[in-house]
Amino acid sequence: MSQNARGESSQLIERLQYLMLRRQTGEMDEKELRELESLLSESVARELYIKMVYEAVELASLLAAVDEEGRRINLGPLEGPGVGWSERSQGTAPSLPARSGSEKGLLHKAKRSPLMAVMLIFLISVGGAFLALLPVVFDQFWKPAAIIRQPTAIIEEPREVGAYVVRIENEAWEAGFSGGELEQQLSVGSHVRLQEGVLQLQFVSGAMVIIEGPAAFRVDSPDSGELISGSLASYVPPEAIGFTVIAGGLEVVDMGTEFSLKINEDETADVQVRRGEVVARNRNSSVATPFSREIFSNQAVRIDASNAEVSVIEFDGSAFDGLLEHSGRFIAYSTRAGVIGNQHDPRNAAHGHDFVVQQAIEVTHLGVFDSGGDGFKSVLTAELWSRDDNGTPENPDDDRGIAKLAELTFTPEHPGELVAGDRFKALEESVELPLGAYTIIARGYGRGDQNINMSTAHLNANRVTSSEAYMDTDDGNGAISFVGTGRWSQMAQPETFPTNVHASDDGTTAHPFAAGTFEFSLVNP
Amino acid sequence: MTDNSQQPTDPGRTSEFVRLLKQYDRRLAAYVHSFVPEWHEAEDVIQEASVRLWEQFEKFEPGTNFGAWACTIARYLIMERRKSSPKGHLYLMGELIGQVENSFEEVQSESDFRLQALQECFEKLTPSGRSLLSQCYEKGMRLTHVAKVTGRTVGSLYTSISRLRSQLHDCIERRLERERGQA
Repeated sequence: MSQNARGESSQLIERLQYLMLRRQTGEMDEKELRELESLLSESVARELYIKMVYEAVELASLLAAVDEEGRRINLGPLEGPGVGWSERSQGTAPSLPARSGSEKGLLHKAKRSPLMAVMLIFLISVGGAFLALLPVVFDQFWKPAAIIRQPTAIIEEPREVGAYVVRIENEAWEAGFSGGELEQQLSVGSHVRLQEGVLQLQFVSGAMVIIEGPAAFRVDSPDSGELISGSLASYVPPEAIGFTVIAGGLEVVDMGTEFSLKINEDETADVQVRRGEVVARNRNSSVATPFSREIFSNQAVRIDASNAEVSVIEFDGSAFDGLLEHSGRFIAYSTRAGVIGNQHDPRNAAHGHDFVVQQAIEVTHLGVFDSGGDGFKSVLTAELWSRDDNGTPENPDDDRGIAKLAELTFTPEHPGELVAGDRFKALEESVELPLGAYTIIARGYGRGDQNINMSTAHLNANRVTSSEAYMDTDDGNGAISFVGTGRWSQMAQPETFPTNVHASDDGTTAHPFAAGTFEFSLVNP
Repeated sequence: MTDNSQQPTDPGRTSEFVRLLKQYDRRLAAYVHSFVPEWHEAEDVIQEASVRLWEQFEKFEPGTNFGAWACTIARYLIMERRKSSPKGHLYLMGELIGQVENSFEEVQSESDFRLQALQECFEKLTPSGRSLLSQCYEKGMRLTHVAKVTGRTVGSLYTSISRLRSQLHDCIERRLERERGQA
């Protein structure tokens, strides 16, 4: 499928999902109905719609069966806590599976369960004969298929929890904050005052905030908070887009990103975006000088909300130290923001870095170095390969590629998301890497786009002698190890694994290039 | 009032009914949810259809397509319900009924694969994504209730839930594509 076609299909899917949800919530209006009918007049949309309805129904079954923590959950349209058979009536006869939710009493169960409704009528009509049939009927449900509707259990009505404490390091609490225990629930309105150390909060919406002392912070809701003093860094996954942090007269609304916020002594605020986009605006739109400013990857601004003054400041990546790691994600090779390449290789060679997986990981994104962070002039490709070390892991010369496990293309039109000095794209489906040897490769660097080669003796205008000057690596707390000395091949071998081992000047670094990279998480954190 | 005298009393027949209903209940549910707006109303129709199927099971000819028979009965119930429901004007009707029914056959043939894929793809969502979907279904698709509990705006919930379900859909499709490729 072409990118355009994929994009159109994606838009159609999202629109159908939205309209379907509007129907299911009972909020659909006439205009939306007309739009849905119009879309469904096309067979492609019709088929998509039916698949989505199936998915919604099956999701209800899945969630009714068991929740992620193994508890029975209540899916019924209930106002209060649901009470089901499994915990209420242990040791007595089982109930039939419920389609959705459960309520007290057989009649209520009958209302929510087709089979229960049927059996209730049956019981009334045939009386004693039904008892004889019970074993036959129940036998159907003691041998469940992949998913069946299960009886439900008591679930407490969720409390107004805004966030949870998920990490504390070297803390020193100020008076007024009662607690600081791991997994402590912070209800809406809770204040955090930290003299020193680091506190990590996981908001109910999914947003993660790391507060560094001295700082004061308040949990305003499950998807918002207020930085009263100090600084924080935040990671906001897609489902928590819209997460908002207030700082004085400033409101920072996240659009799915990693950003940091710091309140200075003069009450200005520094906003930095490492990835994605945020919108910074006045907290109160009725002020004399309203403003709204979009801030993108690798940008940093100082904002004085009192007079809407915005000035560009230098991006400081250290504000995000630990953010990725503590959100459970890691970037294997991360080129620093703004780094310029030093190799114009007319051969468009492939450049690869070897690594070994010591603990199973899941690769979610592939990336390539973007010299200067200004996009690409040519087409670059990132490839993830499994590698056969030929039984000699200490000798990369005899290694061979086994299979290309994943590949993504980066073009001038669709360069991907800039994170520090690299651009990333998400894999359509993450790739799980069991223990073994692998290589990340980037192809296409040449006259259009420069890579970095630490020891390009005959080409390097900007000679670099240490990868530490331009790159950080992250082994995911030891989940991977960086091995070898780098490898390359020429353009003439576009589909082959690069077998030329890089002759590093000092022969010690396993990552002499700025080229391909990847983002990963641990399969079993 | 239901005429219970029509119900089958043969144990084997009863067992057969339960087996068939269990086998086709997802199809029946999907069929009803396709046409009926609002989750609760669709669930009511499904309940009603199940009872009607039981009442008329004597008329079902063994060996024929129970799923198609169930959907036919559900269709009549949907049409009846539409007349009395305050949301009747939001039911999908007219020539769309036939068109949607035709499209159903193709999707149905893959439904078992889809279910398996759904389970796997659901596990791939983030914990907060899974939690949000759970709350949404737990509250019977009443997003105003979910908004109250989570403190989020209804608008942001529409965006998040639509996106999560789109993610699931994409993931399922990719897995099915792979499955077809291997077949």
